[in-house]
Amino acid sequence: MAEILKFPPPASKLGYTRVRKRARPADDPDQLHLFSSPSAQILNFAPDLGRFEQALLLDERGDPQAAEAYARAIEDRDCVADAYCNLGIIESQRGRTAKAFDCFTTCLKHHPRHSEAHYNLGNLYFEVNDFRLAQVHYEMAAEVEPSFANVYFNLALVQAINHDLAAAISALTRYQHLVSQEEARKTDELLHNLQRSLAAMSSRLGST
Amino acid sequence: MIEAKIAGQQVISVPEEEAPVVDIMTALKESIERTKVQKKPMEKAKGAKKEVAEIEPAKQRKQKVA
Repeated sequence: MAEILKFPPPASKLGYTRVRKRARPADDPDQLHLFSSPSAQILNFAPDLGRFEQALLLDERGDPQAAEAYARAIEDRDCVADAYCNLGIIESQRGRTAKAFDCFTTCLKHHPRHSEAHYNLGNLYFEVNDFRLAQVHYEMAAEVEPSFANVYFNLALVQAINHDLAAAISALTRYQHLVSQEEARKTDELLHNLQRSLAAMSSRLGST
Repeated sequence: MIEAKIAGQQVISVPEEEAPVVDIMTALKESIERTKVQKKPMEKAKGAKKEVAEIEPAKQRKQKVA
């Protein structure tokens, strides 16, 4: 007796459908697509990457999740001082000055000779126009890390604002020695004016 | 100029322009204001720093070994 077998439908109607690349609306072969590439996203970190390193990676990519990642690093006791320091920068950028102060001071509790925390705290005091405390923290940062060039620039600036001209000249000269000639040249005008002012003050004191 | 006068030529004297007197302290203030704009930004820590709590036990361990 004959048996009728039913064959499955053609294979092309089954299984996965291949995604076809969509043609761009303006697919001009002469047109350069400079800004069309989508931004990359970190899906998984390397397994040997610590909590702090993960946070730093996100931070350097400008990822808004960096703050949470630093908080996780602090919870896991991974580079606690550094995590507080970088969290302070994020808080400062978000305009939360009080929280930024908290982060930097907590960082210094964990690591009293943390040069970046002293420097950043100096910058924060500078922003709130407390130039005396800014100077104190810049001086601490310079003491901890004598080759930290940017410290001397900001230190010279607050010393000039605080009318400590001789110290400002000294800090700016140190800065010029640590940076490239091109960078150093940008501070020539301030250095010249500081030297002129100091000379004028000295001659006035000498004549009286 | 004297020779020109003897020769009977007309000598025109141009008054010297006074150099602008810039107050040194004002110049310094302006210079500071211009430099304020170039103030260096905050710096991130890169994770190399060890906390006091992490360093102390290591020191103590070393002392015990000695």
